[in-house]
Amino acid sequence: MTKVSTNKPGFYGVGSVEFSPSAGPGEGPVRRIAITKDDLVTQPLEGIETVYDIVSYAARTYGNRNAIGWRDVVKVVEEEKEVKKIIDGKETVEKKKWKFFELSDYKYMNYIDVQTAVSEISRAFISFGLSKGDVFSVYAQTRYGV
Amino acid sequence: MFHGCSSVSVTIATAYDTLGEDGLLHSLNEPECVGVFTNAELLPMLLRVLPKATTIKVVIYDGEPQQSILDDIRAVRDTIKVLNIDEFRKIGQALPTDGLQAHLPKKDDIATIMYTSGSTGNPKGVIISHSNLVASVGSVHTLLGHHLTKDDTFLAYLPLAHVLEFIVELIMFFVGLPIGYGRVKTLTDASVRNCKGDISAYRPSIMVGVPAVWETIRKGILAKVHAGGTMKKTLFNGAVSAKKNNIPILAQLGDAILAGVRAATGGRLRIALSGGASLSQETQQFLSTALVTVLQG
Repeated sequence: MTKVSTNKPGFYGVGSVEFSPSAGPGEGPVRRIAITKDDLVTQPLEGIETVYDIVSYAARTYGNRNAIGWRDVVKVVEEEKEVKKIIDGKETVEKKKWKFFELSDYKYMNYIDVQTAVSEISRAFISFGLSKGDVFSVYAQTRYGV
Repeated sequence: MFHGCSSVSVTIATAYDTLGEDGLLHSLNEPECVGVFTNAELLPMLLRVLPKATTIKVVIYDGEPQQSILDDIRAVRDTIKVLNIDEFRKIGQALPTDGLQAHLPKKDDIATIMYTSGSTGNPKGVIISHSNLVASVGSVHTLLGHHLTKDDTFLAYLPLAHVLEFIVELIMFFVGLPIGYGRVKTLTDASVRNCKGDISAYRPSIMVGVPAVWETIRKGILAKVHAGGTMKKTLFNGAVSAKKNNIPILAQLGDAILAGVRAATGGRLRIALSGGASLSQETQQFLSTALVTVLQG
């Protein structure tokens, strides 16, 4: 197993430093981690201001590397199990069905595919008259489609 | 889907797939959602609240639902359009790209309203702007970015409606690491048939979990060790304590013994992040020695 060893020893420096003194009795001073003492980090890179910028940055930088992987459900396997239950003091045996999935291997989409999908969905949204200020709900399981 | 909305400045409201009828209705009505994206399995639930969610005009789904449920949804109101995600994408594909630029979001626009899981009454919406999200990505990248290598892979299975998972996925995108989607129900080999579980199929090197997940994994490991008899138990405990106290040679020997335990998580797991609530120190220490470095987020 590869160990987690930092390739930047001493990266965090002295740890945290006092940023501003205590504001009054019963309050401690405000402390900040030393490496960002003077400037809070507000963005990962110059030019990245929105989530959309992250998608275009990734497509530009990583192109056809794997971005997203998922598995399709090949079939649902049902198995019966006997479950013992105690109802009104008597032990009864109930048959219960359990559903198990059989899944495919992982399939992948690269960063450019993702950008294309995003662009198509965006254009479709515009054609449906949705724009700034509208709220769209995502009520779904964690999946690649989201 | 999320990114699609973001790039036309449409705000996303997220709702947990585990929400009850009232919770779902609340999360649709409070921000006056104009549309909803969901999975075929969740359509019946949506159908139940739809008559009362009067602002909804578009329903987009993935998967293969029965025709009858689609008809029922269309019958709720004349104005409702129901589309499969592939049909929706085709509509967009046929359209020109020139209009897109004008719709791009600005940093202070609202990116998302995340609804909580609603364990205490109606779910509450948390308003998050683009600059909020980007700053989180930036700060985590500053603090931990150098731990990531280009060979790392990330397994995603927590709800995206959880902000921790959401930020982590944005970071993976930013640093160019693949995200493999799994399902809570199919993570382990025991929960699937005729194939491997998500963990051993994907062999992630990074995973995020909430304390409950790590507790389950810890119990799983201990149960296996105990079932193995006294000999195995002593060996395991010896290995853990040798590692914990970092005794030379013995610690390496311990690694060899613990390799078996690690194989259960695909053998490549390198970093685990726990968040959402605090993880007990005991569990963190146990997993860090026996399995993988666990960071608290």
